[in-house]
Amino acid sequence: MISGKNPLGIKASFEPGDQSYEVELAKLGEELKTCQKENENLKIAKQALDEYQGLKTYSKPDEFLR
Amino acid sequence: MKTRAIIFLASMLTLNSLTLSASSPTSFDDLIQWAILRAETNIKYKIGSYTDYIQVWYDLTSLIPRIENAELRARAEFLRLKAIEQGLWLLQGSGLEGQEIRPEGEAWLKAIGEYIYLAGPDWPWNRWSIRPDIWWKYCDLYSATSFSDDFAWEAASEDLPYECEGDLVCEVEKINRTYGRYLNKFPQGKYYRLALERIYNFLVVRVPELGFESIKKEDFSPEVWDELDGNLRSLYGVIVKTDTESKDEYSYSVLSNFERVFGDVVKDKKSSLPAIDKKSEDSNLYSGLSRTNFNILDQPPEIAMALWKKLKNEQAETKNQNQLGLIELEELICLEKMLSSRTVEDLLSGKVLEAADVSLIEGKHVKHEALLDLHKKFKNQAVSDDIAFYLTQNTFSRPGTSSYTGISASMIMREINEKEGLYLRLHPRGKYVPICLLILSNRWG
Repeated sequence: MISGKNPLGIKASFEPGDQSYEVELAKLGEELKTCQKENENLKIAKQALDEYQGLKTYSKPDEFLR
Repeated sequence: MKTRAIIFLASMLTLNSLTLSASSPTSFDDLIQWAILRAETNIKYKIGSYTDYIQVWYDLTSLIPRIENAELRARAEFLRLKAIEQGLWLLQGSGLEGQEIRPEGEAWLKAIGEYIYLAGPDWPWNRWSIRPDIWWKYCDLYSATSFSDDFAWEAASEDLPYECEGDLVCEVEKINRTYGRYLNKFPQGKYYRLALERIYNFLVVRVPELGFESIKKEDFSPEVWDELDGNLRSLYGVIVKTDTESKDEYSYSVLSNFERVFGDVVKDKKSSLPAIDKKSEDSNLYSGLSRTNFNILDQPPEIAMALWKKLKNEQAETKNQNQLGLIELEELICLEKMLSSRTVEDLLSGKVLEAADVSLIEGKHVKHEALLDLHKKFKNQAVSDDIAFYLTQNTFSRPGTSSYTGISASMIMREINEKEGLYLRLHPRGKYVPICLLILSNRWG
């Protein structure tokens, strides 16, 4: 178990090799994509999706804990 | 060896509209350029008989597998499909009935079998046409090339294999599946203006022809309405997207006409509480919540208890389902507040609660399942939006709920999915979408 600052900005621990974070992250991504499609004129929907993409790039354990 | 192959391929190509002698292909690249030029000339100027297009098709079919450059290959594929389209048109004349197709035509029809279908098999004017999904398939296959847009436009322009015979629901679905789909893929594509023109004509010419000025829900049965509503929302989405990206007056006029005709549909009616302006980009979205009945939680328990009794009386007299849903939601919020200062036994002995109410409680909280059941019960009512937001934000009794500190990243993400994620899944166009997104943004910001 490793502790460190994660992309959520919250102190949390990340278990290397734990796939469930990625699974949950992918689930959230689907909701945000649908939400953005359904709310084209809502800037915050696009912004949330962009921020999510930022999270995704940090989803590998070694980068996650930088 | 390579030269022999080129000579062999060149010998396979039959000359028709262009003369090869002055510019005989000397390399494989020349050969491809020459075959493409010939196909483009034939198609552009509609030169030759159907046998010429059959030959163009065979030529390109033999060359395409050897083309490595994606852009060039897409161009050749596009011409190959256009050769089918033009060849079929010439082969069939005004229809297949009474037509005798010569053996070379029959063999070609067999060769292109996977690309075509017989439109209107029972009509006297039945004919073979390219399957629209073939154009879409190539649009995706060559998505990295400039021809993807052309494939999509051909797909959108291809007539679908059924007649709507004046049925509005069917016509809206057709527009959505063709021009709507094109605009969704290419809101700023080469043909976006043409797609908008088709939609504009539908709105200002076809809809009145069908006897409608504007569309009202009560004109349709619930099942038909659901289908129409889904297609209209989808079409509206792509028009808004196109207007946002193009910012020209024409797209805005299409959008205005759409809202004039279908305004009742696209206006968001998913919620009943006067909480939030969905279109607002106001960063202080939370303030909207204080205007809802959710603020019972911030009131003293005595107020919640008085309101609980009042709501119980109203519930018995209310017939309107949406209103009933709102009353039942408010009751559960009152119950949550009462449980914060009184035990279940106290509330029972004081005759505030009845025995049946106990099934809604677990420990010191309203059961999460009770809220989920409430949402299911009123899922077709506008108030379901408010129920969904409350149940995903107030997780007092949900098993496994924990604080957001000192736990694993996957647990944090799971909780986000169970709260904001669940709301977005239940009501992706709901009134509380901006709040949920703001909560998410604050969490990881």
